[in-house]
Amino acid sequence: MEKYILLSMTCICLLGTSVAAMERFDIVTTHELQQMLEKRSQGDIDFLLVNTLDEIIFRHSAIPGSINLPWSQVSTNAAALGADKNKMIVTY
Amino acid sequence: MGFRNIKIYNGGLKDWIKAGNKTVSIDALPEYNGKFINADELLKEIQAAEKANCMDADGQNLLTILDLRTEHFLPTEHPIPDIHTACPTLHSLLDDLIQPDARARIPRIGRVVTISETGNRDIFAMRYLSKFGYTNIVGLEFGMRGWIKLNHPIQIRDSISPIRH
Repeated sequence: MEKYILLSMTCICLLGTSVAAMERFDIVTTHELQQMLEKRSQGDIDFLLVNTLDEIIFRHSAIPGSINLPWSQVSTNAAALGADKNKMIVTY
Repeated sequence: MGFRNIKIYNGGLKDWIKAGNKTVSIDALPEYNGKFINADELLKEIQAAEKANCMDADGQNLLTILDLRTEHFLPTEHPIPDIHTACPTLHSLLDDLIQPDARARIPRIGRVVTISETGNRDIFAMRYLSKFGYTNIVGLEFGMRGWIKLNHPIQIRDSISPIRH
């Protein structure tokens, strides 16, 4: 539950809107993420997979193809996500 | 920030690994037999340390709280409760421990107890600090949530003491 709350807070920061925006968050399953990464590797889709854990944890172990943006830095380092506000972002 | 197409992989790394998928590692943490104490044990240790003004006969800290909860460093409308103790409490982001000047504030003598939200990240702090020779660090089982659940004493501080300035 805590993880979901933290991820949701990150998403709310990224959206820059209210808690009501939580309704917009789709949940991705492991199988779906596998398929999405496969499609991304083939150039069929594009999205950012964003690890919001601490850098120490990210460097220890991460899902291949993800970038690290600790949720404590979301508001200050959002530039790491690029300028395209419509680009799909999957957080974990 | 205006991003409009956000999804959550709620299973996270745990489910990813459980499903047999590969992970990547840039800087694997050393194996370390990190120990945890529960909230009742910590309360007893705090009470014992406070009877000695939190110091041993050589003037070294008997007990230090290393509070790693990220929420201390985020804007919040509500005060964040800390564990009530007269012994030193250091507040830090986990990643602040990367900085030598921040690590230098963590005592190498006496007990250091890490506090996280639910006790899940303590082991990473212990494993990371073990790289630098720290052997006196234990985690709080179930983190601050476990402490509060048992109604152990808390305090609201006017200000915190960040380990890194």
